[in-house]
Amino acid sequence: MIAYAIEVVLLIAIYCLLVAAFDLNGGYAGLVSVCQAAYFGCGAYVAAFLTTRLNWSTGVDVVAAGIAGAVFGASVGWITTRLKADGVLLVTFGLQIIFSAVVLNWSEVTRGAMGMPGIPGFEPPQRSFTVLYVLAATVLGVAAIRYISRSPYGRVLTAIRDSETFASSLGKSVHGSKISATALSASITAVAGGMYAHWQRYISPESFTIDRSILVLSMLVLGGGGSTLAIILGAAGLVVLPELARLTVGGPIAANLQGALYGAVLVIAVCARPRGLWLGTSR
Amino acid sequence: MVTTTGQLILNGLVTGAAYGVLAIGVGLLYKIAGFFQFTVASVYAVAAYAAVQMAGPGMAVSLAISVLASVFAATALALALETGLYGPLRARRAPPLVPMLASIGSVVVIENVSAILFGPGLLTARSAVGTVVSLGPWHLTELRIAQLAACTLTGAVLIAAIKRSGMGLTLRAVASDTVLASLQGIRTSASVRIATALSATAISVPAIFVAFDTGARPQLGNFPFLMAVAAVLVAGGHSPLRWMTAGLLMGVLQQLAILVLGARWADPAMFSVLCGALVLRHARRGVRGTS
Repeated sequence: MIAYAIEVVLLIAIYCLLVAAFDLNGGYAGLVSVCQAAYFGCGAYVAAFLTTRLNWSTGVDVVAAGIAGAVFGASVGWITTRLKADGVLLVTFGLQIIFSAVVLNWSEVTRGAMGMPGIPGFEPPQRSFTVLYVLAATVLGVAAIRYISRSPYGRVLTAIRDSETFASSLGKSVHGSKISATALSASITAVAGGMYAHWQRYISPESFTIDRSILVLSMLVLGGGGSTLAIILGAAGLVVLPELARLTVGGPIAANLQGALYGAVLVIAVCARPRGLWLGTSR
Repeated sequence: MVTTTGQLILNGLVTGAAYGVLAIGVGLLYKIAGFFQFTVASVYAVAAYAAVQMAGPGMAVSLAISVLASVFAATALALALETGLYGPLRARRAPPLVPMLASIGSVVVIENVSAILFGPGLLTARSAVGTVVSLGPWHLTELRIAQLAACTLTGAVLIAAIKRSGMGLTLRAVASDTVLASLQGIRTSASVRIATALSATAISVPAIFVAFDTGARPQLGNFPFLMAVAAVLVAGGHSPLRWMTAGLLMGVLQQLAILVLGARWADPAMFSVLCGALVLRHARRGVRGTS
């Protein structure tokens, strides 16, 4: 039971990092996308490939995952920087599907549907160290994102979200800021993906589908974003509630029940706050 | 090589005709409602499920009844979403991103509920493929020929309805300028509902054929929906004929991508076309200065 509780806490911690990274991009910069699972998967696959095929040490590969995520995010940011909000959503939806297809079909590198087993865990291998590493990374990551969002750079992102013309008139680089925000968010998400790979020791394409992107989006919309408490509440709510549903219902339909819950939460949340999805926007 | 290419183009025309009908449905809703409704993918899947369920071994009703049930189920779902979700959001003047997010959430709900009800795998009906017909060196099943004919006819009827009828004129007026249309006394919400019903009815036609051909599964509509969106973006403008033509071309392009890139890379290549079309369309609008 304690082991299960620890697994749930670790899952919440990983999602807190994902939601905080998405809050920077989707909340503060207003670039709502649905390819967080692709960034997450990119980090996980880079870390898994470097450690299992090239024998890189754990830690260095997570840094490399972060760099790969930054490059991926910068590319997505560059593609979407001139698009409006609905265009960004549509393109990132397509990119997420492309990512899923690539990891499924590029079997020479990703082993396709079989997934990548044998990923080394954290060293030393005791569970307490795994908990320590994940929690420390989460606290550091969330604190860094909160600091960035309150910094002059964060205020530029907020200004761009509220009015690109106004931000441009102040001499701020709108496109550059959008690209860097997407790259930063993707990089942090990819680091979380690398840590997830070392924690789970096995990854497969099913872990990085559009459903996970929707889950992260739902967590941010549910919590409201804009504060650490909102991020934790959003992440914890959508980890614990479906886990309770899974424990109650059980069986093969549990995963689908969880998916339906994530979608329902997103629908209910956007219907409840149609004029402003992010509570942080009212500040 | 020539035979293979010809066969792939023929297959592409069948698939493309389905994309074309979907593109008209998606484009009509996009122009009138102002955002891409991801739930079109769910409407497509539900139409397929209804067809398979009614024609399956359990029910085994006549083909005509299963087609009618499929159209009814698709239209009922589309109207329920419009009345219960998108209409209220429009009334509260939600920005376009909000109903789009709501539609993505709805797709996730409907897909997972479908998986719970019918299972996550492929659900197939009794075999309705029919015999293979040879057209010179090329071959098509009777069902695929019927699909091509039905989709082309549906597309033609839709185009005529939008372009030539009084109802079509009203829909085009609302799509062109909602405020001006309502000032002219047009009931815009009723127009949106008519467009929704028209779109769902049309979308269920290719869904029924695909269901009888390959079966139904929860994510069945996602890929055709994105291809339809790509067709609308590539074609641009307000012309349903252009959307239909672009859909046809997307189908042919998809089959040729299989020939050039192999089956496993064809889908990512087609999604790249979608992303490229969106970015290029925006860039072109920027050049014209209308963005």
